[in-house]
Amino acid sequence: MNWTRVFPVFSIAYVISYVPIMFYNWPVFTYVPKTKAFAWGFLQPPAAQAPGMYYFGWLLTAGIVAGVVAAVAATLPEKLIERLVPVTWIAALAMLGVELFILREWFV
Amino acid sequence: MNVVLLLTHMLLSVALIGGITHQALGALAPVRKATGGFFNRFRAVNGAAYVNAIVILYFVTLILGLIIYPNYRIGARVAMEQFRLKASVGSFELKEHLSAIGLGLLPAYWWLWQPAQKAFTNSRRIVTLIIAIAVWYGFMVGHYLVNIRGITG
Repeated sequence: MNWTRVFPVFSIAYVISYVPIMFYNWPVFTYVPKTKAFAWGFLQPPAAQAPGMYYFGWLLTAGIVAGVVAAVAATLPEKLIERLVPVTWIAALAMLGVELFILREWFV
Repeated sequence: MNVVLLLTHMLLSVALIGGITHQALGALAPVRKATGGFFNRFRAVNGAAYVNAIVILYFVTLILGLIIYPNYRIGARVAMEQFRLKASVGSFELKEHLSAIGLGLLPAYWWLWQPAQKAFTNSRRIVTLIIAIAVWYGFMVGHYLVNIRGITG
């Protein structure tokens, strides 16, 4: 089986899952740059050590979610996966719109 | 060390922006022969030949960006917040999320440029364009923020 056929599904799952992962703050790990420390999951460091960085953890969470979805999709017929291909860019544009909406407060 | 990493990040992003711009223009407005003026020659490239290089450049550039990101988070960003440069901080937030969306699109982008996927021309064009926009936006915001003291006084 050609496992690269699930790449579009991985991408769809990644871009769709990334936005809620970011919005609800579900990182696999938190990095605290002042102490150079890592912690599993979400960590709100004490004020003296703040800020915590969650971006790395969000990328990994989305990667894990997309990996699981792609693994499940590998069991689907090829025709069905091919029908999902345009969803790749539709999902990306939609999620970009949601991101802009979430970030609007920085620009007003 | 951070300066070396920042400059390397910048140089790789220049290579990435060149490659993705050639490829995106070639995909959106293709020409068969590299004849005529600059614009015709610029877009008369074999886009498929750029794919692996662009995937690697995107990934390595992002990794370097991630390595220097903590320095920005506890340094430049704190200063920008103190000076109430909200839009500048927000611009970087958007760069961060656009880069993540671009990263997520890379597997589909690679797949869409494989010779067997000729049926998905529109998807290939649009995904390539989205990645090009992410790269251009990241490049411009990165440079703006690096130079923000000189630009805003």
